[in-house]
Amino acid sequence: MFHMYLPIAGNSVNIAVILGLGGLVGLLSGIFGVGGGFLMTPLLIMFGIPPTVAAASDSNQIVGASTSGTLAHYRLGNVDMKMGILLLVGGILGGAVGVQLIKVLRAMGNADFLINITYVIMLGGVGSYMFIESLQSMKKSKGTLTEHAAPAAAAKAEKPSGFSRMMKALPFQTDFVKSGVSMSALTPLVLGTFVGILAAIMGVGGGFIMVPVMVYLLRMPMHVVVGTSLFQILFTCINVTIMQSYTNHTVDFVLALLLLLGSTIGAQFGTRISKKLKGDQLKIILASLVLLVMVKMLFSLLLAPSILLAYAGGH
Amino acid sequence: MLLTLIVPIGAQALQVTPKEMLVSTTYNGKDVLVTGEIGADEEAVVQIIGTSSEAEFKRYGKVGGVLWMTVAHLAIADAPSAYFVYLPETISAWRQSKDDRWVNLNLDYDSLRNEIKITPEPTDKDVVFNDFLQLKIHDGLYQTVDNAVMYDPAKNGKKTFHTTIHVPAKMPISSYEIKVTRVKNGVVAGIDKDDFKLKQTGFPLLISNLAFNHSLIFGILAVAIAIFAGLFMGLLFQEKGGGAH
Repeated sequence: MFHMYLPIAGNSVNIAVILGLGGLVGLLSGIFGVGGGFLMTPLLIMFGIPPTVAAASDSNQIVGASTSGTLAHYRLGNVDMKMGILLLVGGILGGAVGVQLIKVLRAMGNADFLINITYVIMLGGVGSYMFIESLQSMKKSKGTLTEHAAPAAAAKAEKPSGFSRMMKALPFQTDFVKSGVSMSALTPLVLGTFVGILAAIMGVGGGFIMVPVMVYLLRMPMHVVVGTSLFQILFTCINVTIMQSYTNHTVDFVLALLLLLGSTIGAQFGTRISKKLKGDQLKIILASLVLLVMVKMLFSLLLAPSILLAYAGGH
Repeated sequence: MLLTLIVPIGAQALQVTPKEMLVSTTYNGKDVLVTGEIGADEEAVVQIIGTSSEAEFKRYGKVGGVLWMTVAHLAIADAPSAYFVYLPETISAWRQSKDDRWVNLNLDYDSLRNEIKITPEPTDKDVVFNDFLQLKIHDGLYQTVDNAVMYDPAKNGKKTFHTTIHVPAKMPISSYEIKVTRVKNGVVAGIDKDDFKLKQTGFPLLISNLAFNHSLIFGILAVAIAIFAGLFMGLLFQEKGGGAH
């Protein structure tokens, strides 16, 4: 077995295992447009990496995987840069607010309870909604409701909702050509801020929140959502990696390098798989993954841990 | 508690091999051989004790009687970073049968109980200490190994002891004390000390220096290499004639 010593993590790892972990999470990045941090960090901790180093090094590898995935999706015409930049700006603002909010909550002693409940509610809510919606959409596309769809669509076209009218009335109306939508530039900015706050509270890159926001609130097609989400995650993780290295000295570059060797390859294969799947199929599989993570999170909250003390840090 | 007597013995009596362990790119832990000479009627207990350090922990508890989550953050100081106790057959039997002779030697984890400092001080310090021990044992940094010290046949009233201690990869880069407690008739007859150290070299040393002494440059470099790797993989996997979806 070939092992490599990780100087910042202060431990030795089996190279094949880490390459495999990176490949698996990179595959998910390429298919769904998520960073994979919510999977990778707990897996790294399981393999003996300190939580703070796991979280920071994982951010470094996400930079590599999302670069690889963004490039692949860009070539397929799946990256809406205009939308991505607006979401990113909102995300940075929201992240800054979220960090301050956590400081206040920690001082009050309520932070961990809020973080855990937010995780479960967000994962459960987002996952369930996506699952049900994609299932309904898949049934519709099989033609079972087509005889009702045309009159309904016509009726809808005649009467735009109050919400639509309000959205159209907002300033800075912009055409997002790649996504095929028109809306105020304020909409992705505000939604990005909201996601940024949640991401800061939950300690994640925000991909699994951003993807449903883009699909259901911004009404972007799923394949453009994947590419644009990766574009936004890339810049978020560049920021996080540099800050973690500078402030906490927790980026283990050797670990990140092994992970990104696996994940950049995985992301390429993930992109190819994503091409072969329809939007609804992608949504339903992602929804299942999110629900699985929620169930795992719920179990960890309900079952007593084997040791009641753990090293501080991590997600 | 019985008085311990530190009796210096001859320079060749206690040998630690190697004295310095180089931690390079492919380091995955290494063995340390400890040998020495004791009286024919003595037993040798070999310990490796790390330097004291402070670390931060989170403590789990039940919230609302239902959910297990972090309920407190603690700092634990003055606990050795590693604590190994290697025992010969006779003393292993005392330990397993919880013999008073083993308790009186004060060599097990309980000897650390009053030394460590927990901040903020919990009302159930013993429970926290036991959880801390479980964590360290799970990490392989605290160990008690029975039947691990062997002897050669006695000659001229002396005998040689030897033990091979596996130093796990997870042990912090630092100096460690090797302590040999000579036990005679159930009491401590003398203590001999030596040391060994773990030292980073090569690529791990380069990375550590960069990460701690040039952290901003290190962060930017880590990002740049990650982006380059991502772009390289993207170009490597470029499909000919690929187009928009």
